[in-house]
Amino acid sequence: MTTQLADLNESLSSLQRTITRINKISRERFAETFAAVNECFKDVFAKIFPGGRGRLLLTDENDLLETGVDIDIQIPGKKAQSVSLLSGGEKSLAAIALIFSILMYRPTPFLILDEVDAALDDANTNLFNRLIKGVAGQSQVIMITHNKSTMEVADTLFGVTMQKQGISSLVSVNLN
Amino acid sequence: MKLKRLEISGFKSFRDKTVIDFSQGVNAIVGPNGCGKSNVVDAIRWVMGEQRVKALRGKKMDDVIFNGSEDAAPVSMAEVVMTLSSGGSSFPGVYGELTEVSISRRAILDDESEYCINRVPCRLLDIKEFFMGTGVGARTYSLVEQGSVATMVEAKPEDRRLFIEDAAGVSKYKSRKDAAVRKMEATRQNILRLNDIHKEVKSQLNAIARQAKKAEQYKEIKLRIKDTELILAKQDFAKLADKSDALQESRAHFTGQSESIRAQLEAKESALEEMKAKLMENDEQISRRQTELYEIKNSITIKEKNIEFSRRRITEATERKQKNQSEIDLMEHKKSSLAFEMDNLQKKAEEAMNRMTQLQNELDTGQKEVEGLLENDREINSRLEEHKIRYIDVMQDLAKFNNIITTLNKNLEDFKKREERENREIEQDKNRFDELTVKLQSLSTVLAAEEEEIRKLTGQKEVIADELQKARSDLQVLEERIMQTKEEAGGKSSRLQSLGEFQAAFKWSSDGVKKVIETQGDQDRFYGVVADHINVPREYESAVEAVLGDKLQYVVVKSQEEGLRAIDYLKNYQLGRGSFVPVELRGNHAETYSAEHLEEAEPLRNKVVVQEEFQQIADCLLGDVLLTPSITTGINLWKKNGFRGTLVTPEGDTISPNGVLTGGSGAAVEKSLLATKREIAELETDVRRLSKELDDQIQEKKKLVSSIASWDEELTELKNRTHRLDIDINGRKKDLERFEDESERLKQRIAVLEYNRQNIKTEEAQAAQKLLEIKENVLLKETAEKELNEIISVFNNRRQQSRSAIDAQERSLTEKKVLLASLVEKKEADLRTVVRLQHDIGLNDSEVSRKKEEITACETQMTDLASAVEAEQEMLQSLYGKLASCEAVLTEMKEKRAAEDERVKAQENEIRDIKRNLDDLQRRSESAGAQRICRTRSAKSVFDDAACRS
Repeated sequence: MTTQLADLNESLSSLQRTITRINKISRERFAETFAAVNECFKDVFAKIFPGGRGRLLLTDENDLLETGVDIDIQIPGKKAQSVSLLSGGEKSLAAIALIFSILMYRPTPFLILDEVDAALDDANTNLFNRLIKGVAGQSQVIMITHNKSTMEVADTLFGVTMQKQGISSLVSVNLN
Repeated sequence: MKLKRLEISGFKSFRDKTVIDFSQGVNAIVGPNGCGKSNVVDAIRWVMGEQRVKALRGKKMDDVIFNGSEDAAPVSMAEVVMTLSSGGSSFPGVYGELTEVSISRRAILDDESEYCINRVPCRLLDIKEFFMGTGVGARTYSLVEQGSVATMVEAKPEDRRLFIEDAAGVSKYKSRKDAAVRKMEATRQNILRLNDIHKEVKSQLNAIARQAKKAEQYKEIKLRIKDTELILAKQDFAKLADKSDALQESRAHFTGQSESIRAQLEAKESALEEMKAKLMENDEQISRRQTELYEIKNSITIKEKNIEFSRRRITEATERKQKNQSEIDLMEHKKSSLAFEMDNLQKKAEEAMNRMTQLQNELDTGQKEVEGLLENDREINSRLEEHKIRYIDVMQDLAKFNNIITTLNKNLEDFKKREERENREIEQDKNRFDELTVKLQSLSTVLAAEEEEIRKLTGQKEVIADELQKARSDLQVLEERIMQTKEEAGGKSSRLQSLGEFQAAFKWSSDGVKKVIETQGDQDRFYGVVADHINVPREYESAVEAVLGDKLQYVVVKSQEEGLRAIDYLKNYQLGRGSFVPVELRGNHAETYSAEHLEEAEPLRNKVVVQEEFQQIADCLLGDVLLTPSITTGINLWKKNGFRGTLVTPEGDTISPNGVLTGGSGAAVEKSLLATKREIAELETDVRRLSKELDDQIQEKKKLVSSIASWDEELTELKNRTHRLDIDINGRKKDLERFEDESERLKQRIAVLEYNRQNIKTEEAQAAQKLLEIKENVLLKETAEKELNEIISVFNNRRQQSRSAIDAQERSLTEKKVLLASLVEKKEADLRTVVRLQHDIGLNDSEVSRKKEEITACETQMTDLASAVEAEQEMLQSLYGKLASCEAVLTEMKEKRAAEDERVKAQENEIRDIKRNLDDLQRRSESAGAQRICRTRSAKSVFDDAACRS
């Protein structure tokens, strides 16, 4: 029984070691990723809001394992303000900047965007389309949109219709 | 990793199986609102293990299953299959080798979801781990839901951290860490439990120690049993060991035998190997020979082919030579014909040249003529143009003048019309003006009359108002008087009434008298009381009353009998007393006074008026009463003897015959019957008079009121009339003003019109003047035009003539030119043909020389080829010889090899036999070994048994 007890204690300490190791790795990776994404975010944000300034902040820099991530945004010609006070379109753009900055650092196999461009004006839609084109080289993009200029970017179009009431059917158009 | 295909069936609005083949790059899903685009995204998220029902826009997980629509029945199962292709990079984990992985999730109504990877059922955790660290998943930054873009920014910092974690690939570690923490917790629990058990065990240890002692005793006994059993087993073992030895020996023997056989076998096998090697060597030789043979055959066929080829070329060359020769002949012939043709052409060209120079000369002369004619024509034309210009000018002037004439005529007409119109207007205006003046006069007379009337009416009105005022004041006075009269009459009549009532009720008489008069009220027998029947003047009332006293109340009856009856009645009914005076009283009165007495007094009887029938009563009562002016005179009279009557003063003081003086203040009788009676009479007359007065006054008032009313009426009527007249006057005045204004205006207008008419007349005269002038001009211009026309026609004729001459000349010229041009063309064509022919001849020559060269080349080739063919044939003969020898050697070798093969086969058979033998032996030895092992084992088991038991 004492041996059993010793075994358990042994396993306990090994688990503890594992956790510390994981924590160490997590901390390192998180710090690395955060720094990189932050750089990307600054770039992308400056591209989206010419003359604007945006960066990511850690709410608790001493605890990298549990810290939250804050967004600090300065839109050109406006006072630096909380993100919740932005207009709908500006919020969309800020979120797009965040998504694409993460994607730039670490491209995902595919990206799904459901009516992300709904709140954007024509100029920003063109900007968004350029970003999409840039990302499409690394990631497959699947997006839902009502915007015709966004559709122009697409290589393949899937039309969803409801010919019979309540039943969707699909029509695909390959643009190449 | 790429999303290659998505199959959706029964999921949300996708009832039927729908397959989406995603392509590389950008895929856009489009469609109208509410068509189910987002359901595609939901399907992707669902298959990746989405557990939040809300995120899938449902209430419970079953809501993702197609729930039927108007036209379609619901289904009971939803399934989504997502096919991922590796697309260059490999899949994570155990799927790294695969190029495609399909992940599916299936939900059945009222059941849990099932997950599969590559059609193999798995847990949700497996799917989550599959996607972990790729950045893809149901809840990562790579999947943005509809309308959640903004919420990504608004999310809590802690939630946003998850995106970075996903990107960093930390999430995998995180889940592992969570697992580790869980395990640690479990381990800690285990340790706790173990500690508990440890404690328990310690407490039980004492009891166990006692049990251990007993167990040791048991162990000792057990050991002794074991020893004895061991001895027994040893004996058995020895026996078995002997047997085993025997078996070992036999086995050794077998092994020896097998060894010898094996050696034999090996020898045989080595011999066989040697043979095989030899055989191989032979084979090699054979093959070498064979290849040699093949080579020879090959070279033979090559040579043969070469010869064939050379021969064919020789024939070809000869053919070509012949062909070239014939061609050369043909060309020579052609060359001679071409030269002839050339000569002909050159001659023709020279002829054409001559002709051309001639034509050119003719052309030049014609040209000069034409130029002269043209010069002439130009001159004519210029002059014609001049005249035409002049003609046009004249025509323009004429047209202008005509226009002016028409406009002037029109103007004149207009003037006339205008004049007429203005005359008409002037007339109208004058008429109107006359009308207005008439109207104005009538109006002013009417106005004057009306003003006069109104003045009259105001005078009348004032008079009437004065009258009215007076009548009203009269009425007021009269009313006051009526009031007074009424008051007076009212006071008098009420007094009269009360007195009348008093009189009628006999209030003043004693009860008995009253009763008698009331009950026996018979006018025939009772004539009332005495007072009723005597009338006394006012100044003597007090005197009469003082004299008569109660006698005034005596009831006058017809006779004494009547009086008797009345007294009886009073007696019978106990009604008191009464005095009754019969009409016929005994007249015993005598005048006791003498004339002496009458000096200072007069009889009262004379002052009283009595009705005829009651004379006696009055005489009786007042016959001896004298009225004196004062009591002192009365006393004096009394003192004079002879008089036996009563003396009375007007104040009511009396001196009885006996000399008793009665007097003082106040009335002699309490209720003055006489005064009352007199008052009544007075009042009656007053009332009558007053009522008459009142009647008169009322009549007067009525008259006054009626007259006031009539005046009022008259006044209002007058007022109305004046008002009406005022209105009329105002209207007339306004009319008057208006008419005056209008007449003024008309006057002005007439003046203006007159002026206009004057103007029009002058203008008209001017226009007529101008017209005349212009007409003269027109005549002038017309004559000029005629002249010009004649000139132009002359010029035209001349021009036509010159034109026709020019045309004829030019026609002949063009004909000549055409001829010349055709000649030039022909000449050039001829020259071109000559050049071409020369060129052809040159070509022909070169061709001929080339052909000749070719012919010589063909000949040399033919000789070369013939020699080559001969050489080849010689070589071929030698090769045929070689081939035959080679084939002979080969057949020999092959035979030898077949014999060797036979031998090898025999040897192999032998070896197989030996091997079989050996196998037999081995089996036997093995069975012996097995037997031995069995024995040993049984011995050992016996031994162990024993040991165990002990």
